[in-house]
Amino acid sequence: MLKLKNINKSFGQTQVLFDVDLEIKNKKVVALLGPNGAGKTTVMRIITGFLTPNSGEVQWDQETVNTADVEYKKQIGYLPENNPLYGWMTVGEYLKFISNLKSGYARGDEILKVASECGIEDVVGKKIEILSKGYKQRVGLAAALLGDPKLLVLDEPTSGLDPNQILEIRALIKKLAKEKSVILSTHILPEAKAICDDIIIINRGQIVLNEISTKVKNLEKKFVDLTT
Amino acid sequence: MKTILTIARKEVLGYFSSPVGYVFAGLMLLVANWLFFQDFFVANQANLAPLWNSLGFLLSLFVPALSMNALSEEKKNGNWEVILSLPVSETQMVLGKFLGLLFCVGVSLLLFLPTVGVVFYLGKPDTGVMAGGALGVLFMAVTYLAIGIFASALSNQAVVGFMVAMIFLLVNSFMGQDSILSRFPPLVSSVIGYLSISWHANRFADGLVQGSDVVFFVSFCAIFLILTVMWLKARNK
Repeated sequence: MLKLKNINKSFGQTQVLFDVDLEIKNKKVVALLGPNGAGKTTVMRIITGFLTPNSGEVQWDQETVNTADVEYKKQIGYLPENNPLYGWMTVGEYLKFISNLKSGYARGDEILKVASECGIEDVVGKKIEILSKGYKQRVGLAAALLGDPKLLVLDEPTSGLDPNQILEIRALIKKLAKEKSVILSTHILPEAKAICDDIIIINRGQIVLNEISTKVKNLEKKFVDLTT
Repeated sequence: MKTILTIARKEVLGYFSSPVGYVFAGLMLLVANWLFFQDFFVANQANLAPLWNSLGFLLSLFVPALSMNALSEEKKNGNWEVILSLPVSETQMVLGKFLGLLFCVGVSLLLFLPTVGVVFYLGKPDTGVMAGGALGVLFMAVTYLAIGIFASALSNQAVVGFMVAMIFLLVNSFMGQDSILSRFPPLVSSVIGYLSISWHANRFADGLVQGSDVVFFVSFCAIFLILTVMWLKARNK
């Protein structure tokens, strides 16, 4: 469904991605693993159109696309690493705001649907700032689901959550992956094994492993070998 | 246009959801009225020019305070990453912020209507000159806002945006003062004066509303909004 081909990205004199190739297949979950500073977030930002590559191409359904294109952006749902939300808004106001920006209008039924999918229907009227981190993460996920995107880009979706919240979000991602393609970055290697179909390891801006999850034996050792 | 209005609406709601906006607007109202009425009864003239003058100075503090969070906070918290990953361009984002904050500045300036009403009640001010002065303040506020939004885009620290905008506006304002301009040769003084926002606003306050001044305000505003968009796009560099 989505392919990155020979993507290179530099900031000033510093090149952060080198000929990155990766593919996200329809309704598959891809884990993007790598140490801090490896280039995971840059890859995700290029997929979402927040950053543009210096060279290389992004293909959607085998056609080269401009990631700044409105129709392309409508296919993507994004949850950034620190899950930025407007704390002074209620959950409902926030979802309405995102829905308006994504579709040009806010559909109440769609907002209720994603709220219910993410288990936040009880807090729709509450201010975001008073919610727990787990609930905030669900709000971010619900916002990413608005507009029914085909691809979800989740940057460390379980970062900073307690073990129970991690299990909840993991279950939610698994549920969502039945309908959508997902690319997620994580530092928790067992998590990648547990919920992902494909595993990609990136180190110093280069893809060093791209395998089907079931074929990867002893992921921890492989990760250490490939990233040190 | 709908995207711009959605962002503008969010700015307005954000402004009125925090007490900071009310405090700044209240302070500007209080200080400007205090300065104005201090001399008003002594001068015994139904003249609003001193109010426009003090507002010109106060706006160079109030507008940077109002706009300092506009983009710095979005960058600091990462919200701009979410917004720009949606079908929203940098131009729509900047124009939305600009329109939203413009509404807030407009509401803050409307709080001065009772002051104008008092002057009309007590005397007969020249309505043409008064309207020119009010228009000058409005144009000045709009231009200051464009500069404030640009300054807020420069860093993810709101205080940096505030300081940059305030210093720029104060220096620009002093450049338009006759006491400063008289120190330079005529040619230099006319160039410096032309670049000063307050100098153009003062012409409005004198009742001289000219198309060239309107073009100056619109151009100044457009330049800073375009610079803001370019600065946001430079994240790729």
